Amino acid sequence: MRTSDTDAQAVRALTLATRTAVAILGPGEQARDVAQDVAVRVLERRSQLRDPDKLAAWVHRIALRETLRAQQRARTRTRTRREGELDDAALDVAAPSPDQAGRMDAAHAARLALARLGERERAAIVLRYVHDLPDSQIAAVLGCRRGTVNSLISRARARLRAMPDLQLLATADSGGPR
Amino acid sequence: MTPASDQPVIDYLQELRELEPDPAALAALGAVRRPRRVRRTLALSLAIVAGSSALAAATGVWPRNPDPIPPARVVPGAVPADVTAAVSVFERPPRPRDRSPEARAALTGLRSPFVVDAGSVRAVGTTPRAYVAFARTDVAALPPRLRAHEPPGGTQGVYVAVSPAVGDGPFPLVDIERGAAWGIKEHSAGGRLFTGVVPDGVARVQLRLRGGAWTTHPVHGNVVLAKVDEGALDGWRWLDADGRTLRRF
Repeated sequence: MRTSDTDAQAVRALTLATRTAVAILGPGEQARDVAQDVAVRVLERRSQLRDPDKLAAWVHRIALRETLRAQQRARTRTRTRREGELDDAALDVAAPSPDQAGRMDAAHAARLALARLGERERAAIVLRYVHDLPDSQIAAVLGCRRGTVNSLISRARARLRAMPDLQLLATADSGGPR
Repeated sequence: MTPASDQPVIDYLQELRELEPDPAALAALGAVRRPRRVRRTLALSLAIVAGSSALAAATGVWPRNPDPIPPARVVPGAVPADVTAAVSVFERPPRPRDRSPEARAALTGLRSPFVVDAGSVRAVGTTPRAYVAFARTDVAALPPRLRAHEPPGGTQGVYVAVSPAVGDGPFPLVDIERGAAWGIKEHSAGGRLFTGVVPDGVARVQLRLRGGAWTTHPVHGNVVLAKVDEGALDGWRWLDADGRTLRRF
């Protein structure tokens, strides 16, 4: 029935948006608020969606936009407080810190690294590795060609590999340099 | 061999593939939806939460809770006069079976953030028996950002249930009067059950089945129950006591 379809759409939207928001913002109130906002927007605008097959791409677009906006707002607030100084704190992502075993918090480090990517690189890598989307679907969400998706993901991974924090983390995970 | 230095990021992202929404977010989402759709959302939410991955529990990203959305609380309250004027089952004096354990059990299908007015529960019909109650959103329990999506006084209307698994609503009065207060659910006895709430004056309803056949069903206490085949309903109409058609949908 149409009503059941709508219910499923709302829950699907909340699920997708939660994963995107947590990937970029981390678990917590901010991610929860963004995911809820996205789901409410989908509910409010569902009549605009003519083709149900395009629901996922539509939700991904809204979720990414709202998540990146939330991150941008957080950065702006911090910049204002710090009079323009941009550092890890200004990215609103906790800087990696050693835990009791002397290792960095992997999730924090990952989010910090993601925050240093460009917005489209970040979006492409989240769509690929969180949502497991193929190039064609990522291209549909980002409004670009498949070749551009490959390029965005390759560039993003190259930039991640060049980040010294992550090199330390990968080395620690593998039991130390060999 | 040392892994690629971006592997921790890829691992972090891939671990989120099974992440399920916070149960509270699912419940809150239900509260901002169109009233006749709320029950289904909450049911779906429960199903999803029950099936959520071990990842969420293991990582502690969202706490796992086997029963995250409690049943609607029963609270003191009164059915609004405009509702009793159109749905007079609520004016009938209460009987013992209105307060039976079966009634309470059937109404547990309605979940928080709704609350049920204690004096409003009425048993109607015989086989199967249904229970109607007046329910409303507990607006004070909603986060402020979601309160903004609620109409003044919260979403409120008539909830009808045969069992915890077969219930629909709450239907606002406006939906009842425009013939939108109905739903179809899988019935434990097999098949699908049409559940509808109609205003006073409607004595029977006719359901139009796909293929053009009509079936006629009596109304008991503003409620009509009818077994229907899967996906077979094509429309319905209201009849008065003399068999005259009042409205078609």
